[in-house]
Amino acid sequence: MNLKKSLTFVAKYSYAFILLVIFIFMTCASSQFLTFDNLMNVARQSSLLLIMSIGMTMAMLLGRGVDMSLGAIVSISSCFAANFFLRSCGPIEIIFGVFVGILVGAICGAINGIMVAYLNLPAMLATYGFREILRGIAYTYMNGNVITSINPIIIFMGNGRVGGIIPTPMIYALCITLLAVYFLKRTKTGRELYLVGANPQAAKFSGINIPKNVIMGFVLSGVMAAIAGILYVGRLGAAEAEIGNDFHFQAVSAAAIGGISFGGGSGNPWGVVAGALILTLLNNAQNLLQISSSWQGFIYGAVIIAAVLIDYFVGKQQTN
Amino acid sequence: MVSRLSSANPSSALGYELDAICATVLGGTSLNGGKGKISGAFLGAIAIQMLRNGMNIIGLRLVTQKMIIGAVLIVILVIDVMRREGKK
Repeated sequence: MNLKKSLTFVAKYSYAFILLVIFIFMTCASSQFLTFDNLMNVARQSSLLLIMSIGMTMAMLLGRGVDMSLGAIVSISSCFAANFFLRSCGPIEIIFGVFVGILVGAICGAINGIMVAYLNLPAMLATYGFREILRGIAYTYMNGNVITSINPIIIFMGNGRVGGIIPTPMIYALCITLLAVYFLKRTKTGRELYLVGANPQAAKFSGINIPKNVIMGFVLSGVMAAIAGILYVGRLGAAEAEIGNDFHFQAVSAAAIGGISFGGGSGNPWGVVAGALILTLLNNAQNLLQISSSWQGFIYGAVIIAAVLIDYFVGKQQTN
Repeated sequence: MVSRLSSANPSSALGYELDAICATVLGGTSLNGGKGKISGAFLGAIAIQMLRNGMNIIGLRLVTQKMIIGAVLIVILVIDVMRREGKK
C-alpha cells in the first residue's frame, strides 16, 4: 500500500522528477549545459512557450478539449499588430498595436468559446476548422510578405535583456504565471473554471453559468496566444503568416507534461512551468549533444504519450 | 500515396488529416462514436474530393481552399450536433 502511495505521488509530480533527471543528466553529459549563458538561453526560449501553454491550460481545464487554433491566433495577431510596430511608429501607435493584437486574440478566442459553449461542438475539431480559417486570413492579409524593420522598443520587449542579464520575455512569463496562479487558486472565476471542468453537472446545479466560463477559458487562451504573438514579432524582428504552425502542439505537450488533465478540472500552472522547461531542455539537449532535429517530433510524441499514460494512471488511483 | 507520387516523403501527407476528418464526419460518422458506416465515409471522401477538384478548377488558391474546408468542417460539426440533439 505504501509503495502504491509513493508511486502515485511520483506519478502525480512526475514533471518535477523528469525535470530533475534531465537537469542532472545534462550537467553530466555536456560541460556547456550548466553555464549561465545556456541557462538564460533556455529561460528565454521557454518563456514564450510558457505563455502559450498557460493559455492552453485555461482552455484544457474546461474539459471540452484542446485549443488547436492557438498557433493560428499567434500568427494572425502578430500579423495584424505588426503594422503598428514599424520603425517609423511612435509610442502611441505601438501601444495601439499591442491593443489590436490582444483584441484580435480575444475575438478569436471568443468565437472558439461560442462554438464550444453554445453550439456544443467538440472543441478539438471546431478549433481545428477555425484554425484553417484563421491561417487563411493571415496568409491572405500578408499576401506572402514579411514585415521587417520593427521598432527597437518592440525588439527590446521580445529579445532584450534587462540590465544586460535577464531576458525580458522571462519577466513577462513569470508575471503571467503568477497572475494565472492567483487567478486559478484565489478568484471566484478561477475556481469556477476548475469546477466546470471537473464536474459540469455539479457546476450547473450550483448555479454556475457554464457557457460564460467556457467562453472565458477560450478567450484567455486567445489572449495569451496574442501576447506570445506580439513578443514573437519582437524576438524575430519580423512578422509573417507562417509562424506558429505547430505551437498548439508544443503548448498541449507542455500542459500535458505539467499534469493538466485532458479530462479537465485538474492540474496547476506550476506544473505547466515545468512542462515548458522540460520541452525546452529537451530541445537544448538535442542541440548540445548534436542529435538530429528529425528526432524532435519523435521525442515530443513519445513524451506526450507518456504524459497521457501518467495522467490516466493518476486519475485511476484517485478514483480507487 | 507512394504509388501516386512515386516517391516517399515524411511530410507528404501534411494537411490530409483535415480532409480525412472532414470526409468522415460528412459521411455521417458521429463524433461520439458508435454510429456511421464505411459507405458513408466513402461518399464523404468523394464529396470532399469533388469540392477540392471544383475549387482547383475555379483556380482558388490553396490558402482559400483550406479556409473553405475549415469552414465546411465547422458547418458539418454543427449539423452533426443538431442531428444528435434532434434524436434525443
